[in-house]
Amino acid sequence: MKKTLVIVVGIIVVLAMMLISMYNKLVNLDENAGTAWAQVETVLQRRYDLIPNLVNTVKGYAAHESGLFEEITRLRSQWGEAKTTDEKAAAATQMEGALGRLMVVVENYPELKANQNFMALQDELAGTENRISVERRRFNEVVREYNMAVRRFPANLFAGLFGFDPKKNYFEAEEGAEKAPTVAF
Amino acid sequence: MKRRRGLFLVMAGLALSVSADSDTLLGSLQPRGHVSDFAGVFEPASRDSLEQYLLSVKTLTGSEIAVVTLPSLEGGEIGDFANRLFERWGIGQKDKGALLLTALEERDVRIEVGYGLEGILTDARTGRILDESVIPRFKEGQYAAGLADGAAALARFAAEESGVSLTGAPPAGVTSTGLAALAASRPASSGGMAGLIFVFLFIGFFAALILWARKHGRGGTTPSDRPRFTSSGGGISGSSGSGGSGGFSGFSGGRSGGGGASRSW
Repeated sequence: MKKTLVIVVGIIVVLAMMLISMYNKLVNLDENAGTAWAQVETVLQRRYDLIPNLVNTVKGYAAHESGLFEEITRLRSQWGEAKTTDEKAAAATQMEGALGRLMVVVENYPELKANQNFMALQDELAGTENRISVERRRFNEVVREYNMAVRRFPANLFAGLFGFDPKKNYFEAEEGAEKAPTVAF
Repeated sequence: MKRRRGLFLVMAGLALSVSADSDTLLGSLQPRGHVSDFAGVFEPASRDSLEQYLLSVKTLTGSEIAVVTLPSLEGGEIGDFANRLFERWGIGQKDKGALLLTALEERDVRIEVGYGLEGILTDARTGRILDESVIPRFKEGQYAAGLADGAAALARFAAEESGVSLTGAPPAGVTSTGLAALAASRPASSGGMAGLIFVFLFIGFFAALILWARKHGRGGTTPSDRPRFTSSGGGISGSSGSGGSGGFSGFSGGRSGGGGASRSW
């Protein structure tokens, strides 16, 4: 009788230890995803900080493209209002498309393209877009690791119990837009 | 479920976004020094002098500048490749590093800037370095000269970042005079101060050791203690002597976040 009690207690202790290590692993991964997303937000913010300057410079040469400028302004305020990760990702993706179109427009203004100030801005924008794609890649790698850990047996049984997201969304680039602002000029 | 899986695959593809060949290439590259001339554009002598120059730049400014030439990116994209190579090699002390990478087949060149130098080496500045120092030389087919000029321009900004001024223009003839000018411009005070602190620590350590030995050694230092003292003294004087002339000993684990600029020629 005593023997079975010892065995049962032993099994419970082992299970509890497994549970604790699994829980801690999930906490680490969750935390990593948070850090990676913070990096993404930092570089996205950098893009939004750059936009007024860029738009003003382009306006001086291409005033009649006002529709596009308005759209960019609207998307910029949409970013300010976005709260959740998914909303922010969506706003960023739309802005990517609009900036891509802006860069296509720029192609029609050789004088603008020769402007020293604009050339510097182009490098800043290209660098920013590249930073975004780097941080996005790192974020997606962390999310993939998290999702795999959370959905694997037996973690999938209790992950929800402890309040872990059952699945985090990737930050996806709009199809074809990823390259557009970076390389088009 | 099937759809989800498809989506996952697309996403995984996006996350990597580089061909398998280029991944293999990336995995196989090992640094040969600050200058890793896989495409063979440098004469041995100019390669060595650039290597020496970048070594002294590291000693004086604490920034690591890597110059890498590749015959081809094997289907990779230069921005992504540069960032991942930077991270794999760990270029830069405290993230103070820069990578000047060129791929001849694609005719692409990129400066990738570590987190620690992003403040001084802005994207616009790296773009101008490429436009003014590197691309004109590349167009004439003078790859080694363009890379040396570009690396020297990066070194000037790295020096500005750490409050050291590099006088003279070394690269093309990264001559001994250029190096002398570089060494001479180091602010003497900081080096002297660090040395002084070191000496005091050293003396303190000795004093503590002697006191300890007196207390526990039953009548002063035993003969077996003496050789230990002299050998540690020798070790320290040796390390201070080799500070400027040591060889490349690997990069220091820096990371970059995609800052910098790319050009084609």
